[in-house]
Parts: sequence; structure tokens; C-alpha cells
Amino acid sequence: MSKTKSLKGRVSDISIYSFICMSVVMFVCFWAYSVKKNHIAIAQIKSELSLNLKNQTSQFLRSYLLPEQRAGMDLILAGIRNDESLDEIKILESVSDIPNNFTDCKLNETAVTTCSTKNFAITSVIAPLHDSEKTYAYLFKARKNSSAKSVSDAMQFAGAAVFIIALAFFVIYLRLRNLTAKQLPDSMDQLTKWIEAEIEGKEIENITLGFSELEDLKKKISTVIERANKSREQAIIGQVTSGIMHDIKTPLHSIVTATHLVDEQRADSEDRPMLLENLFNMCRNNIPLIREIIETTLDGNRNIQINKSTANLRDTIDKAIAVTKEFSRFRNVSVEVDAPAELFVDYDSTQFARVVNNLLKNGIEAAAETSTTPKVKISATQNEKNINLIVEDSGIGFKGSPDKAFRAFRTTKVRGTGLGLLISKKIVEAHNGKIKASNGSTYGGARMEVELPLGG
Amino acid sequence: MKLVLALLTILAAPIAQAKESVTVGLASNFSELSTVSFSPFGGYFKDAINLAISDNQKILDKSQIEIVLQDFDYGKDEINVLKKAKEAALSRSIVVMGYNYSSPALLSAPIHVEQKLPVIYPSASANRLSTFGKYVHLGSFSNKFMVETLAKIVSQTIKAKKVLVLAAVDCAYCMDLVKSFEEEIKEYDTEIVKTIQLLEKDSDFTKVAEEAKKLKFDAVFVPCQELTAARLISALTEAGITKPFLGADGWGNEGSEFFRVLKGKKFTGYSVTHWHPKLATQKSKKFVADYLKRFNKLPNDTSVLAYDSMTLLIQTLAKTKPLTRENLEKNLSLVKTFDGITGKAYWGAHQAPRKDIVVLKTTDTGFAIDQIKAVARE
Repeated sequence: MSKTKSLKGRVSDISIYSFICMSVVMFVCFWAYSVKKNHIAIAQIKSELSLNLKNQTSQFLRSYLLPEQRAGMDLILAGIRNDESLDEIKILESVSDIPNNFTDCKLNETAVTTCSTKNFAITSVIAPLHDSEKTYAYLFKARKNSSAKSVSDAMQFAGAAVFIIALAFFVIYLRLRNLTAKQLPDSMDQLTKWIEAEIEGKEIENITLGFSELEDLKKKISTVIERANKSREQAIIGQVTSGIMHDIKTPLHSIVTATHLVDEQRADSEDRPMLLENLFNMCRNNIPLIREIIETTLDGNRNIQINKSTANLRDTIDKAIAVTKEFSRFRNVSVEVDAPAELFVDYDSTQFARVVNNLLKNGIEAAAETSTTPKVKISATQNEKNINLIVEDSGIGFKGSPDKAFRAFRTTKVRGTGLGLLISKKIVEAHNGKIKASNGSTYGGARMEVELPLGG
Repeated sequence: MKLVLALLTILAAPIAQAKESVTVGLASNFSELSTVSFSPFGGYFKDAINLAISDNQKILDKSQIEIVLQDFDYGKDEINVLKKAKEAALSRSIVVMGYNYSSPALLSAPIHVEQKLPVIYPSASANRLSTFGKYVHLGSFSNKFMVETLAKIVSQTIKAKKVLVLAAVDCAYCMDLVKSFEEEIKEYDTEIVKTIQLLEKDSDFTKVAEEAKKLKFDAVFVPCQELTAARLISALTEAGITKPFLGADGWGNEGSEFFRVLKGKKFTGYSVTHWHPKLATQKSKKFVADYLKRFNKLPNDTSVLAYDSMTLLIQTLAKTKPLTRENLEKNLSLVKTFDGITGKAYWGAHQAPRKDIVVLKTTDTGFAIDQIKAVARE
């Protein structure tokens, strides 16, 4: 599975790549501009140096051929040097007269040639002094290329610019990093707190998210939560009502039936006392049951109070097996126990009995509905710190995330409030214990594991 | 009878009129236009050639010679002289006349010698032209000859002890004069304080004037061509220099362009030249009148020297049979004297002639003849 990159990492990548691209592009542009400018400057120098070349070569040739004028060549050279702002001008008699700092200079007996120093700092033209048949010497003129210096200046400037851009990018990167590493996570935490509070229906003050986008998101989430809450409330009301109505329907029906039987008798009927006794018994047996059903439903929505005392957990397990004996026998589910005879621990035996009863009952129902050899195993072990109680069944196990089983009204059973595991979890957590749902490997069904601390 | 005579004349005419055509090359900067319309360079030269041919037609007719002129135009760029000289050597010309100034003359001389094509330089005065020997013929005196007279003027007329020399280093004629002057002046009790180098192609000589002002001298030698000399004198005069100026034949003799540049600045100047339009000899007066009539302008020294050289050539052609380069060369070498518009000339073997030299002095508006130094045959 590919790892999702953090916002901080992406910002870092973007900053680095942008900086590199910008620097490279800028450097290349500077270099290209400088080189182009240099070439243009060199071409311009060549053009300027060649402008009066024909007259000058004619003049020098005359002076070269006429001894009377030979002595004056220096003055003519000085005049041209001054007029054309040359760095060097001389008459060459052979290749060896070419200044050393010029590379690849060749003498052509009939045509003007050009050459430069290694770094194109100085450009020169060399014109032959020749008549139609013979070349006598060469006129060498050279001028500095101010653009060559500007090439190195431009590169230095480019370097400085890259440094400044790097600095700017670094500052931007630090700002963005602060934004992504601190401000945004802080704001996300604030938003998470707000969401939690909103879900739990609590008021939370001084929430500053720092980003308008998150504020907008907060508003949208608020709308969604409100809509979800409304749906959930309706569902809760529906489920609770349905659950309560379902569970109290039987005992209520017994009471109603007994009441009808009494109504049908005349006041002076001989059976009336018996029927009234029957009604009384029905009320005595079923009203507590009805109360328990209502209490259980309410427990799903309130904190559970426990009273701990040292007792033997094995007894609670045995009682739970006894209570569910008819239930399991009716469903042909075998219940196996694997627990030491003594498991003394500080706990509320009454409340914890509800946990064991609920886990055992769920396991029996799950095994009965889906397995050909339905089994449930309840086991318990003890170590230095905890007692571990495990209930495994041979049902189909949990589809999806087992943790969702502890949510209210997440029952898969046709009958039931969907609050059993939620209340079990509340009771366990009231004991500072843990309860965990998973798919077991013993029978292939659900595995419920309760960890009860010995210290309480 | 008259009819018979007429018939005989008609029959004899074709025989009598069988002239030998001879090609004479004219080498000059025909296509170069002057900086002022007054003096288109090649025009004065060619006009004088044509006038000389016209004036000597009788000699030509008698010798049964018909001259065909062929132009070799080297234009503004003197380096083209090399190419044109080679073209002339390959042409039908048995002689070339022209290369009116020292630089083209010096450039062309080796080629003519190598190609054995006789050449006549009517007006070029460079000293080195006298060293080429065979095939090179000079129509005017040399720079050295001019400097001999100038040195005397410096020492005896101006009585200068110190002379400033302005040397145009890009002008062969100018530097030749400077060198000759430096050698000649040693014979006198005069020193050269400084030789300031400059370029003939420049037009602003303010810096030269500033440099000159810092020096002490009694005269200034300006051996340059007409325009450059006028600009230099103008700059120095403006800078407050009042000493006399000296120059050679490059200053010209008519003076219109020279004094136009000076714009009325007062100065004292001496120059030497070959001839002046106001020379009082009959030959000169006739020449000036003919030239003016034919070409509606006064001749200059380029014209008169060309006229004299062409006249000499025609006289030599008349004696040359058969008309070949070698024969002509031989006869030209034999010429020792000539009496032309510019006076008498005396030649040593392939040397520049010794001729009458005209000393000019400047006035407010032009040049005036100061004296004429006639030379005797040695």
C-alpha cells in the first residue's frame, strides 16, 4: 500500500523543485543572453574594425612599399589606434608576430580574417597588405570586447540572483513548514476537538482554526453532524421504542392475558380468586422483568455505577451458564467451560454477571444460527495483573470491523435492543478493564476477550 | 594638265597618308575628383597632352606618325598604380607618360624597368626616381634640386638660424623633401629645432600649432601638397606664429585653392616651382593663351610640365625608326637638352634634369614671381 505523503512533505518537494527549476531556467536564460550579447558584440566589433580596412590597407601598403613613407607608419598606426579606440594595432610580417594571447589566428594572403583571445575578451581583424600578385605584410587591429566582461559579470549576477532566490525560497519554505507542521495541525486538532464536542453535544469555547477554509469546513461538518444527529436520534428513538416494545411485549402480554382472564369472570365466580392469584403472580414475575428491560435501555445512555468487592469470578461464570442453560439447550448449543475453580478479584459481581450473561447469550445465539455443530467456549486465565475472560463461538464471526459491535444499536440479531455489548463494555470499563471483539481461530466465529485488572 | 596633276595627287594621296600608328599610354588619376572643382587632377594633364599633340602635328605628319592615346586610370587609390603599370606593360603602348606625383611614380618605376616599358614622369620629383636607370625618364627637377634653392633662401634671404620642419609622414614626396632639406641645411649655419610629424590626411592641425608655439625658430619649412600646406600655415598663423614659411613645388603656382583655405590670413611665404602663368617668355605667353582659348581655363604646372614632356616625346618619336620600345628607349636616353615652356633643361644619364627654377613669394592674394634662377648646362 503506497504511503500517503504529508502536506509538509509535498510543500517541501514543491519548494525544492520550484527552486531548482527557477534557478536552472534563470541561469540558462542569463547564460544564453550573455552568450548572445557577446556574439553580437563580437560581430559588431568585427564590423567596426572592418569599416575602414580597405583604405587603411591601401595606405599601409603604400607606406610599406615606399621607403620614404616607412618611418611614418608608426604615426599612422597611432592615429588609427586613437580614432578607433583600439587596444592593439600593428603590422605583422609573419604568423609569429601575432600576440600570444590570441588563439587559432591564421593569416590569409587575400582575405580578411578574424580571431579572438581565449575568452573572447579581445577581438581582432587581420587584413593582408597585398597587391594583385603578392602579399607583403598584414595589418592587425584588436579591440576589447566589453561584453566579454559583461558575460562574467552576468554570470556573477546570476550567481548572486540564485543566492537571493535561494534565500527567498528558504524563508518561504520555513514559513510554509511552520504552516504545515504547526499551524495547520493545530487547527486540525482544534477542529477535531470541536467535532468530538459537537458529536457529544458539549459546548466548547475559544476554537480558532486560523484558516478560512477550515472555518468553512467546520460549518459544513456542523451541518452534517446535525443532520446525522437528527437521523440518529430518530433511529435511536425508533430502535429504543422498537426494542422496548419488543422486549416488554411478552411479559406485558402475560399480564394482559391474566387480566383478561379475571375480567371474563364474574365478581362472584369461584375461579376469580385463582385467576387474581395468577394475575398477581404474572405481575410479580414480569414487572421486574419489564423494569429491567427499561433499566437496561436507560443504561445504554448513562454512566454505570459499580460496587466492588472481592469475590470468585468462577461463581459468576457458573451462574451465567446456569441461567442460559435452557436457552442453550433449546438451541442445541454445547457450552464448554475452561476456568480455574478460584478466580478471586475485586469486582461488582451483579453488574459483571450482566456482562458474562450477555457474552454467553450472544455466543449461543450466533452459534445456533449459523453452525451445524454449534459450540460456545468460555475460558478464563489469571496472570500477575489481570484475569482474562474469553468467550468464543462457532458462528460466522464479525463482518467488517469487530469494534463496531460495541456501538449502540449495531445488533445483527432480529430481536434485541442492540445495547448489550455497549453496556457490557461500559461495565468492563467501569472496572478499569478492557473488552475486545475479534474473529476467533478456535471455532472460526466471534471471540470476545475481557481483561479485568486484579487491583480493581 | 591640271586634270593629270589632280589625278596624280589623288593617286598619291593614299601612299602619302600611310601613317604609322603608335600608342602612347597616359597614366593618371583621371577618375579622381579634386576636393574643389578648380583642380580636377587628371584633367589638366590630359588637356596639356592633347594641346601638345595639336601644336606638334606638323612634326607628326612629317614623320608619318599617328599617336593613339590609351588611358591607364589608377583613380584615387594609388595602390592601383601597380595594377595599371602591369596593364600598360602588356598593352600596345610603346611608352607611358604620367604618374604625375612622386608616390605613383615610385610605385610604377620598378614595374616599368622590369617590363622594359619606357616611362616619362613629367612632374614627379622624388629623388629615388633618378636611381632606377634605364626606361625611367624624368621631365622635372628633383626634390634635392629644389631643396638646394630653398636652403639658400633660408640662409641668405630669410637669414634663419633655426628652422621648424613640418613633416607629413604619409607622403613620400614630403618626406623626400624633408630628408633632402635635413642633409642640405647642414651646409649652412642653420639648425633644425624640431621636425614635427603629422599626417597629410588630417585636416585639423591645431595640435601641431600648439606644439610649434612652444618652440623658438626663425622659419618654418612646410614641404607638403597645396591643401595640406595651406591648412598648416592657417593653423600656425592663427596660433600667432609670424615667421616666414617655405615650401616646394607642391604649393602650386596659381594659388587660388591655397589662398582660399587661408582666408586672408597674412603671412610671408617662399616656394619654388617649375613655372608661373605670368612668366614673361614668348613661349609661355603663347602657351597660356592657347590653353585658355582651347580649354577656357588657365594652365597649372601639371599642365605645363606635361606639355613640355609630350613635346619632347613627339620630337623623339619622330627620330625613332622603327617605332619600338627599345628604339624609343635608346633615343630618349640620348636626349640631353630641351628648351620648353618651363625653360631649358639639361639631363645626365637617366637623371632628373637641371632646369630653371622659379622662386615665388606670397602676396596678400596669391603667389608672385620673386626670381627665376636659370641654370647653366654643366
